[in-house]
Formats: sequence, structure tokens, C-alpha cells
Amino acid sequence: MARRLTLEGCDVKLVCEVMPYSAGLNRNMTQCLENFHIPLKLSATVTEIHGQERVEGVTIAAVDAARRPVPGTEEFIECDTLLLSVGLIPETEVTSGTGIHMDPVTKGPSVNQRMETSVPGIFACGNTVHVHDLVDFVTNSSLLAGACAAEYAAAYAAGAGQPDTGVQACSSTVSIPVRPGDRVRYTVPQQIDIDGAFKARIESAKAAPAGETGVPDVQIMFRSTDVYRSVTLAVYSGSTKIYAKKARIVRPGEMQTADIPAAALAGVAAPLTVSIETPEDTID
Amino acid sequence: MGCQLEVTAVQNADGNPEFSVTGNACSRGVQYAQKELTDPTRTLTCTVAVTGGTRRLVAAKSRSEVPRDLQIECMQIIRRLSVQAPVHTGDVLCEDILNTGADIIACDDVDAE
Repeated sequence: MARRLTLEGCDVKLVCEVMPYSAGLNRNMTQCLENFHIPLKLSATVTEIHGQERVEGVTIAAVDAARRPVPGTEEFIECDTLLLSVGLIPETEVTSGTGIHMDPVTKGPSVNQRMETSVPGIFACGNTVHVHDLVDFVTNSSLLAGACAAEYAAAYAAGAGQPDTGVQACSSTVSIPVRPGDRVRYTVPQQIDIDGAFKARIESAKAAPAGETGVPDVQIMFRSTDVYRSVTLAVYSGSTKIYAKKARIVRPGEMQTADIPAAALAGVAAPLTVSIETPEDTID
Repeated sequence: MGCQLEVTAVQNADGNPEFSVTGNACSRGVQYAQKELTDPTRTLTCTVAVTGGTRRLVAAKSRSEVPRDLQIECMQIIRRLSVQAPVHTGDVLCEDILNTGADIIACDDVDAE
């Protein structure tokens, strides 16, 4: 918006961000703010709006670690327009009232690796599950959910006449919760359901010749709680590390992914924890 | 997402800067860094006023990239443009804007009223 308003002829004086970091993409900070010489003030917020018929100015102040305005840091900024960016949360119009389990952190429904919610046969994808960074990722999410929903519908139709328990509810399905660990805000999916077919795939992947990298079967998406550099993104089953990837920098505004090959899930029974480990962490 | 590029510029014998790029995951990063530092350009996206159409504005963009620092001046010109409906995707609304070599083209159709 700052860039668009500038291109359309406005003089954007300032972007004020209450957090100590920007939740936006690095690309946007450069191409929308820096390139147009629009200052970005972090850990600051608007405390007062002045004017009657029209905005005449705002007062901004620095905020402390608890995001409270710090007295004595107030500054008056003359302006005639204030744009408020109040954040994005998943639309829940359809899910509310269905009894679908909602994740209190993402504010969207909890899903498994097939984008299926806690109610068998109801799938969710895109920004209704969690807010994505790029529309391309929303599209990928929808492709996955669509394919899985189609599979479910076909299996359901083939099993027509069976008790209405749905494909996921058979007793041989093992549900593995996926939880956010250190420095991770949330994960999607929130659980991995391993039914008979998936178990067979895992076992054959494990038996595959050494050196053959398994096609990632489960992609865990997650966000960091803060900006961290030189970290390892790790997935543990209980205390066993089943996945690790180094990253130079992680930001809350840039979603991370852990692509877990099927073979890595062999024998997994304990809940999975996704963590971000910094160089200061003890090495076991 | 994206690469953290680190670029070191050294003046070579001709007095021109030579760039050493690290942190790129592929070769595109090297070209991108060099271009950003020597001749940064952008695709300009905008809207153009339409007369006699079912909609007042048509989404438009520069067909090729324009110099980054000319975007505002290009917008000053685009703001004064007006095109007659019907408009079709790909129609040139402004040819070679500011001698940049970039045409401003329509991104959508607008029917005549």
C-alpha cells in the first residue's frame, strides 16, 4: 500500500511497525519502502489521531518489549491520511458451527497432511488454514487439498453401503500430532495420519536402496517466533531427530518448510516436534 | 524464501565496478545482483482511465521493465492517459513511455457500453 499510494501520487511519510521486526517479505521492504525512501520505524505505534473533519496529524511513540507506548517518546507527524494495517486471519464463516477443531494460534482449522480437518470428509486449504506469504503457495495448497478430497470421495463411493465412518476413521490409522517446539509459532499440518496405504508406502520407501532420496511425502510448514540467523530447522519424533536443514536466516514473515521423505517416518509413533535450533543451543 | 545476497564491489582497471556475489542458490542471483546495482528496473503496474466502457479503469502494466527511479515519472504520464473502450488485453495504451523502450499495455478487457 505504501508503494501503491506513492506511485499514485501520495507522499507517504512513514510506515510505523509495532513489532521490533517487520512481518513482511524482505523483497517488499526493499522494493516498496527503501526504493521509495519511505522510512520504516520499528517498535513504534500511533497513540493519537488529530483533526475533526479530516486527519490533521498523528502522534507516534516508541513501544517497549510489551508493546506499550513509552512516555516521553511521542512525536507529532503532520499528515492528512492514516492507513491501518490490522493483520490477516483465516476466514471462519464456513468452519464455525461444524465442530471442526480450530488451532488457536493459526486461527484456522487443524488439518492433517491431506488437508483434512478433524471432521472426516471436510478439507481445508489456502488462507483459511493459515495465512500464506505468496499466492503461489495458496495455489499449491489447493491442489493438494483437491487431490486428497477427490481420493476421499472416490474411496467413499467405492465403499458405499459401509458405515459412515469415513476413510480416516479406520482403526489401523495412526495419528501423530505435530507440535511447535523451540522458536516455532505453529505448524501446518497439526497432525499426520498414517493409514494402511501410507504405512505400506513408508515401509517400501525405507526398504529402497540406500542413496535414493525419498520423494517428500509430508511437507510441514511453520513460522519462527522471531528473526534468527544461522539456525538448524529440526523435526524430532520424541527425542529422535528425523529431519534437519540449515538456514541462514528465518523470519516470522517468511514461512519455512520441512520436506519429510516417507522413509523418515518409518517407526514413528511419538508426536513430532518442529524446532529451530540456534548455535548457542547445547549440541548433544 | 529468497536468497541473502552479499555483493562486494571492486573497481577494476577500467574504473568500472566488478561484482563478486555470494549467497545465491542459482546463477540468476549473480545476474540479478549485478543488475540491481548497475541498472535497477521494475515492471510497472498501474490502471488507466477508460472512456465509454463498462468499467472506468483497466489494469495495465509495462510490457518490459522500466528504470526503477523513473517509475514515479511514468505514473505522472499514465495518470493523464485515457483510452476509448473497447479495450483488449495486450492493447498498447502508451508506446515507449519516456523513451524507456517499454510499452504500457492493458492487462484486461473492457467492453464498450
